[in-house]
Amino acid sequence: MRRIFVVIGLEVMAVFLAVSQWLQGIHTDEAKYVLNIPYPHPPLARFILSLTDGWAYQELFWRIVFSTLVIQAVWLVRDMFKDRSREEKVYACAFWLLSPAVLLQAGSIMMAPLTALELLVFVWLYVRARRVLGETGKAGDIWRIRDMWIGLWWLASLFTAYQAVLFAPLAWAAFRRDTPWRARMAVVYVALPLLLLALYTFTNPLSLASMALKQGQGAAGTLADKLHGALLLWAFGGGVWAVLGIAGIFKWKQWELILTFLLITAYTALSYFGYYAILFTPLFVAGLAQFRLPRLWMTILLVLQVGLMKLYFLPSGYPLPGPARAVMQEIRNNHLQGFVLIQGSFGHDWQYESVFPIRRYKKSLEKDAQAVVCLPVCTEKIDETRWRQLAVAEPAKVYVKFAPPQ
Amino acid sequence: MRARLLRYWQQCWQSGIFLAVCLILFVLYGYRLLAILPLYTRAAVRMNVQKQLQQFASERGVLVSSLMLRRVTDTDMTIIQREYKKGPDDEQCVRIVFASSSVTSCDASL
Repeated sequence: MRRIFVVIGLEVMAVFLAVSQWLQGIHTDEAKYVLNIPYPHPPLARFILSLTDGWAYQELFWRIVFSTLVIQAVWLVRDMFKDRSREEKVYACAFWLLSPAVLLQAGSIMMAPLTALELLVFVWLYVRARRVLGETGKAGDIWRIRDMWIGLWWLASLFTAYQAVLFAPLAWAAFRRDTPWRARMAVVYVALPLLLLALYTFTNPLSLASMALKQGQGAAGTLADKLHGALLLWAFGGGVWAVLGIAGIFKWKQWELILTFLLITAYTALSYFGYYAILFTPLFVAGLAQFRLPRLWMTILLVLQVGLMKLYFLPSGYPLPGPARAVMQEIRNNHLQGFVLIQGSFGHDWQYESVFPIRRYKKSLEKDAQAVVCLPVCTEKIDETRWRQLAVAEPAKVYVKFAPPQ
Repeated sequence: MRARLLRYWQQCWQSGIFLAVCLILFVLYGYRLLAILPLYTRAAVRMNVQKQLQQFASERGVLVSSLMLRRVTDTDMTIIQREYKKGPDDEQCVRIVFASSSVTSCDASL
């Protein structure tokens, strides 16, 4: 019965995180996935998202689903500490739930939280297998999960986001190799999805073009920049517990875990984005499991974590989305028809928020347009005898046509 | 013996499901790859045309602007004629005639 209350409590937290993100508006990257725009990731998650594109509250629905998955994943964390005291389990769960990356990203419709969940499952399998091996000394049927399911999970992970390739060492470790047949099949289970991903990539030149465009992005920084970026991602990934997480990964001396950690660090150093922080959180859980700290220490760390969360992580979090939702709401209130023309650089969030077709501004399109949006200033002059400016929040300037005479 | 056969059977059907899913994806993406292979061929030809254009201009000591390279469209697969001449004011001009259009550019900003 108590467990049901905990599940409900966690769900309340998940809905709160999702709604708080929903109220801020949609980011361009999120809109890209919801609109199923075929770059830069493989199709599995965005195809599933696109099945609901007719729903009125599609964005809110998926925010709640993603948030629920990330928050309820705490049960896997708890299971990793199965042989520990109740207190230690609570601290481990608190680590997951109060990790800055989990709090800031749980309600976002991005591939990074999904990839982190997929990684968490592989970390869970790894920790669980090592624990059973430590207890019994026998490989045997320690997983009780069929290799087929692990293979399909690996396939699904790769077809969610390319970053899943980085945890290939843990995927390799997840398969049983205690008989010659299983050893051969482990190679097939790991390699075949990788080959299929390569095949998919060649059928989608947009992915290749996107990779070529982003190649070396972030590689230009100095070593100090990269170190700063890595420290920031680790801090967001684990908060004050990140130190214990990293120390634990190396203390445990399991090459699959260390290699995965190094691969993710190297990848994020070459291609830095704040939302990759959550990829470190599952690895830090495994690292944390290598320590048995006294209750006093854990309480001090927990208080520090909460304090830093309020003072630093939440305020500095991730950039807020642009003004697309507010602007489109204002334009809809005018009850006109026609294109919305945009001057300046704009993202997919404008496409997602608009019920009218969006076009890049051209003078010749003005006659069929109902509104012109300038981001942030109008580079081409707007004739204010034909267009009136709406009062909307900066940085956008919005003009709508004078309503036709009744 | 029976237990062993049962174990083999279990392993076979599990692997079979996984391989069947992979086979479906392989057929799906393999078919799509066949359909878009001509795109890759055209892109390769296009890159070759651009390379020739740059070589042609560099042999004559002029620069090829990125604007001119962008004008090499997918339909301009074959350079039919390439001309180099001195312009009326001693400008250095390159005139390149493609299958579907011609491009003439003068001076060092070419």
